Amino acid sequence: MSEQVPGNPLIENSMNEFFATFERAQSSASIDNVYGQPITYGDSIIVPVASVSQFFGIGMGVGADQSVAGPNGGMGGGGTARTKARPVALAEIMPEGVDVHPIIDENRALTAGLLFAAWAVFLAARTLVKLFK
Amino acid sequence: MNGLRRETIQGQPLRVGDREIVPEAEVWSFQAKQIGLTENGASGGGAWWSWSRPTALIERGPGMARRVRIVDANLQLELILIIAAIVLPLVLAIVTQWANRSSD
Repeated sequence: MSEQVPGNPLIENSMNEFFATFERAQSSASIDNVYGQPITYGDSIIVPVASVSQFFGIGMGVGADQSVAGPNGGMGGGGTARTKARPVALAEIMPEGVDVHPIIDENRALTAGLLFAAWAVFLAARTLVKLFK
Repeated sequence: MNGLRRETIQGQPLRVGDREIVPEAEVWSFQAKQIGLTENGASGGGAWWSWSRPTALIERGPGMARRVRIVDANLQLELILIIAAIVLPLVLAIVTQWANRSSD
């Protein structure tokens, strides 16, 4: 995206960099993040497969007081970013065909299961209290 | 452009003998950005999020094409548990009502 930002070069550069950051982020969401480098194992080729999520947030401000003689600009900004990859499967490409082996994250599954169990116990207890009150 | 976007992308084919394997993924992305310009200053902020997930491997060979789906077992399990967690209170509420009516 190219947007015309007239005026002060400091502001113009900052705004251009602001938009370029989003363009770079969009192009970084590529398929190469999802499918890893193929690994040859005997007759087979193994491709690791992952689910990838990315996030960033930025904020900035540029000021240029032109009522004062000489350079009197100020600039500030901040941001945060996070990238998370989670293994999903191993794809095995064999001479006779392709096979996909899912990867189960046992800790995550256990946590989800325990949370659900706790919720179910709470609901069951509440229902029993209502029934026998 | 601000907003939610979904696209399906395919990677470089991997050649194995006379077959080629094409990886396919789905990318969800969301961005929101805004700038404010005045004569002597500018301010802006924004956020961007994306989620790339594998969908399938497409196997093409002489006279054949096959799509091998990639299943995210963890995500499926979590979705099932979330749906169950939503449905369970409804079922229990119906059971409670039914039990109360029966006892009246």
